Amino acid sequence: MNTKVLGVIAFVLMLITCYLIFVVAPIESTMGIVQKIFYFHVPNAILSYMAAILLGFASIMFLATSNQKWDRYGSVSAELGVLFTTTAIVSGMIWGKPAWGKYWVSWDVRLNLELVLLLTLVAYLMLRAYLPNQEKRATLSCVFGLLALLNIPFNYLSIYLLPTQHPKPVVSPGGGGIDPGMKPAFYLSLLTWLVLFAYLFIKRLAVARLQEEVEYLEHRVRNA
Amino acid sequence: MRDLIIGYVFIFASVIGFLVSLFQRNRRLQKRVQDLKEELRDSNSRF
Repeated sequence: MNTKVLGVIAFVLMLITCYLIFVVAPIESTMGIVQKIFYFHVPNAILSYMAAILLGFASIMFLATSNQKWDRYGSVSAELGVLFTTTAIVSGMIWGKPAWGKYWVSWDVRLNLELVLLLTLVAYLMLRAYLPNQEKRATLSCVFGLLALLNIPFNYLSIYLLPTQHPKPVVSPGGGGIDPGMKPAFYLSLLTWLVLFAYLFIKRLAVARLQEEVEYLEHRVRNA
Repeated sequence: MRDLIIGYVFIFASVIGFLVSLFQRNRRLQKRVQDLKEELRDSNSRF
């Protein structure tokens, strides 16, 4: 599918999602209108997990095959991971203030593991920016890719296994479920963010390919 | 309500900012590729 078409689909879906969130979905009785941040917070948190899983998978594949394409996929996933982990944390903090009375609960396992995930992804990108040698860069950054992957099961299970302020996910096992009136807005939001993720991934992949071409051409010009 | 607006504005601003940076990087790198190809052609034609 053409990338532009995917971008247009994501844009149209986003407009419909916003309409469903702000016009159709009911206002939650306990928390009021601020609960509507949920429709973006949950999909963004899921995408932060997805980015970390893709990064970990790409790191494993690179270590197994030494194929540069996996390194490229890994770096793209890490950048998207930073974006979605940041939006998930910030939207969570904004929801946390009226729900818990404060933006951040110190030593809450779920919150801190999400922060650790963000710092791991930032460290991955910083390491890559620091190392000029392509092969060395790809191999060493895999360590941080694997650390990001390792974070995910602990991060996800922390709310089931440890005492935490963070509520159990409403749409997964053990969760309370959501009001039927909220379901269309929530599931469409999830689909919209997935399409947007795919669009951003393809766009960023094209930039990564161009970066590699520039590095190759610079090498050839130096040796000409 | 204010918190909700801040949250949504932050998320949209982050995604749009990322998208704009992608377009800028793409344009800059395409120009760099063209420049390098010309440079390579010039150096090849000299010899």
